[in-house]
Amino acid sequence: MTDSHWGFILAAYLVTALVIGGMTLKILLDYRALTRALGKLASSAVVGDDVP
Amino acid sequence: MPNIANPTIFLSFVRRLLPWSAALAIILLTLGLYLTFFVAPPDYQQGETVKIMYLHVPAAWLSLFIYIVMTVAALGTLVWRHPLADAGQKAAAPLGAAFTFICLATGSLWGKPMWGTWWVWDARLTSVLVLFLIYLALIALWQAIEEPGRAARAAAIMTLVGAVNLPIIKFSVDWWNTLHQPASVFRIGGPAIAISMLLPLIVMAIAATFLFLTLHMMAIRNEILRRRLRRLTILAAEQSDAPAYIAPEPAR
Amino acid sequence: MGDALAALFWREVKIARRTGGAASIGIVFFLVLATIFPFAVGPDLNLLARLGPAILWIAVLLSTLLGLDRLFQADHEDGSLDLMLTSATPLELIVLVKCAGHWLTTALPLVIVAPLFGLALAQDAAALARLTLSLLVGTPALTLIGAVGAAVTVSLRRGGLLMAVLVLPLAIPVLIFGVSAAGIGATDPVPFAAPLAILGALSLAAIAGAPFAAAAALRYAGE
Repeated sequence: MTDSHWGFILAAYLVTALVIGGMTLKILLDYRALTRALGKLASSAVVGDDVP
Repeated sequence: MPNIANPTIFLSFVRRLLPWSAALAIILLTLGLYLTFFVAPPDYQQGETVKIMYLHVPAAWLSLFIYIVMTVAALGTLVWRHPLADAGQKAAAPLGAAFTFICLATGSLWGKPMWGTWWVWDARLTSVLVLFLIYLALIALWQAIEEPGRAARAAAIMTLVGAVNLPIIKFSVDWWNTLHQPASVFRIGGPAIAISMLLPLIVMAIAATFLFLTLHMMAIRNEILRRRLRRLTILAAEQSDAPAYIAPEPAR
Repeated sequence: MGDALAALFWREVKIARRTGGAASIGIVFFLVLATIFPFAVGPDLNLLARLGPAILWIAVLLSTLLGLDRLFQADHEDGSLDLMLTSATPLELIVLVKCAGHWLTTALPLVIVAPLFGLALAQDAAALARLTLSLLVGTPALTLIGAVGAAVTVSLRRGGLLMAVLVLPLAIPVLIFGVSAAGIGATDPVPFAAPLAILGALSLAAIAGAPFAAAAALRYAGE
């Protein structure tokens, strides 16, 4: 088989890497946003009564 | 064994397990990629293009495996009404769609040099496409229903209905395919696949499975946190005596 | 229990007729769909004759499913669904009877008018007979599969599109065997009995299974 097929192989691995990488990134960012929101909520709950 | 069905215990369990499963996935993936690119021989018919198989087949395996995981979680939701099963279901659906998409995309990129066309309405590819649609529909259902418990039960029923239907869909697509195009061009090795090609394939499949398990655990953790956040926000809104909350409700 | 179910059945039929909604709009929608296709594929009668069964089956599929999104929603809104949930009659039977009422008022009229559109799509007499028979056997499966989707999306204010997305992939087997039984063009003689028998099996399986799934979904939505 000729060299031209390497383009397809590369594209397949690239697509896979992009999809898996994007998914991982999305899950990680989601985790960061959630823990941050939970932390903010917890800290505001403690001082919540004092805030005017 | 600790009761990992308790969400809090599950979270600490995930925290301990996650580095190990992530490391295992990365090591296996590296090994699999090494075997694929430096050890596995080119196919005598397909040449180097066969390297796409090491992505395509594990993705195809995961697309089914994730549906099985979702079906088990759906049973957990309906039979034991367990929040962890809800989270397991919800976290699995986007992952299933992603791996099914990889299966379709690599199949298409494999098909172009092999068949000379990007897509063939081959029985196997078409069934995977239908599976992809079902994943997307389930994700849409999850997004449409706001209350997490209710969404979980609706999605669980749809998942089970889909699980019953998938074999029927597979059967009918096969039937349809033989009706329209008698000879299938596509064969991967058949039973007599060489060991030098089988070994990388198995390593890649196991690596992909661990990759999924790692991502699934992370996504389940997110769902547990999301539910906790939701509950706390509602609680905070109920407790606070902010006048905004008592303001007249908008007309329905 | 039989009386209650009979009363429910006639209620469904009356509602469908009185609001003038479901049944007649379904037929108009079917007509519009069948009319649109020739604009897309061109007026060539040979081509239309070949595509005819597929066009009519897709039109019936969409008209049936899109008409179903209100199957439980109206009952959910006015509270009669709560009565059905608490009644002594099994919810599965109630679902089945509601589906029967819906089939009689919306799917059966489609089956009856389909041959007329078949004439416009250059189908010959034999093809028309096959088409009508395949629709008659296949539409119960469509109604029941759609009922599951309607039950799952019952609490959503605008569940119509979501329901179609959920249900259409599941309706693929019915479409495959329905079109096969209707004959894929006169030039391609496929065995008639086998796909029709499988189509019948699909309908029976849907009648046996779908009410349980739909009833479970309704119970959970009512919680």
